[in-house]
Amino acid sequence: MLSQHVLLSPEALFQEIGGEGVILDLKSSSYFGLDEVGVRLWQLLQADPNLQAACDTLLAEYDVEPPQLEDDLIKLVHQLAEAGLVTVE
Amino acid sequence: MSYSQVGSHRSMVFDANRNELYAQAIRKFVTADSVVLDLGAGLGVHGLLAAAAGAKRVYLVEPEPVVQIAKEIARANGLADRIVVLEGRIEDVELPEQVDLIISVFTGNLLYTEDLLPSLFHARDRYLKPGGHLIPDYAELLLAPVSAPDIHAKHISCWSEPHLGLDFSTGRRFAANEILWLNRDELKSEQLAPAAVLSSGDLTRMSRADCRGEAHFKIEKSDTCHGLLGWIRIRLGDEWLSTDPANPEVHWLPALLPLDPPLQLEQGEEIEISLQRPAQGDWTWATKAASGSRRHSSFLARLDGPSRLRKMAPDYSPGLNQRGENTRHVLAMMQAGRSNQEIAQSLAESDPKAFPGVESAMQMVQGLAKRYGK
Repeated sequence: MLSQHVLLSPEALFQEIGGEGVILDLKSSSYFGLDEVGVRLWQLLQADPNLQAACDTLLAEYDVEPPQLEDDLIKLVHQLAEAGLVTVE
Repeated sequence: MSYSQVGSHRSMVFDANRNELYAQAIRKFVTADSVVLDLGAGLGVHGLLAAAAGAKRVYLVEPEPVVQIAKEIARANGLADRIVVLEGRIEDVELPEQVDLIISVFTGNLLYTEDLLPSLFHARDRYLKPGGHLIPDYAELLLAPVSAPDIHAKHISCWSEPHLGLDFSTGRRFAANEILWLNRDELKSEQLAPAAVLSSGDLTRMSRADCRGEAHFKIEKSDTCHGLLGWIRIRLGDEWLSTDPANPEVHWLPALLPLDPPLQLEQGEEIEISLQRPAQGDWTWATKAASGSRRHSSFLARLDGPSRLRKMAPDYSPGLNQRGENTRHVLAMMQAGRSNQEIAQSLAESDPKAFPGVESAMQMVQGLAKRYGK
């Protein structure tokens, strides 16, 4: 999955203050909360949909084991996709 | 806005332009047999007008205690025998009969703003007789692209100017997502295209209070678009009341939905504008034109956003914070029939960190007793 591209929904509005983030999905009018790593992932995907590249950047920024981070990112992207906030190609 | 003080009702009670149109509509529908509901009555001005027009009985329903003053005003005007005051939300009070006419002022500055329409729908479905009337009975929300350089400079681009040697430019992205409710004398703007209706509703039938609309505009004059001017029109009997700033002043304010950076538009250019707001939610407005696109949302201006909004996410399990625990504690004791003094004592003992004494606990207990006590 890491080799895939993750495209952010044009209907998703993202708000971040102090490391916490929330997405408002304009289609469903529902909110989706992001923790610090989720915020950073969203910001990286805004600039580049390449999930592997985002993962590499996060590995450089956070003191975390690669398998753990990869597992967390795949779970998060899955949740975001289920909520209709991203599409995975 | 709080409506708990008489002073906060002044602009509504003495809104001659609005109330004269309401009075005309009231006189059109009221007969000697009419039973009337004044919903969100405040000081009861519209209900009193209905009584003065000859209605048999008028119910004033208002959650704020200020409505009690309406009894005295009714007495002073010789109308007390026809006025029934019910303090509470329409969902919580009980009217003993069906009504022929419901008068309301629940359309807000931008129709949906105060989230009061569901209460009107509730009153209509529960109490309005078949063939009964609503004042107002139809509402529209209109937008127009406008040039408003002074407003933009005063409220938005000012954030990019250094102030006392400090850089406040971070504030600009928040300010650009806030709806500006402006008094008419401050609202100097020039429309770049005729206004269009973005959302409308037949209040006698509609049941949803969310807004989602779009419209296309053809720019009539090349200029910079600083935002979208919004206002409402409501039908009161045979007349329409518009809060368009070009119309006579009324209590309701027009609004400016900013665009930032402003958009340079050319004569003849087409611009598509969309507007949406779910019930209880955020306003989002967007424009698409050959010159560029903009999208703003009051969601992006919410400073208490992330931590509070995360709690509203469907997949979030909020639990209870300490204040929630204390509230639960108090409500349980209220339900068990304990006195405020006993509850405050118990609360101070259970959370001495938050309540160093019974007095400070009592403040919380009294607040909850006022709100939830029988």
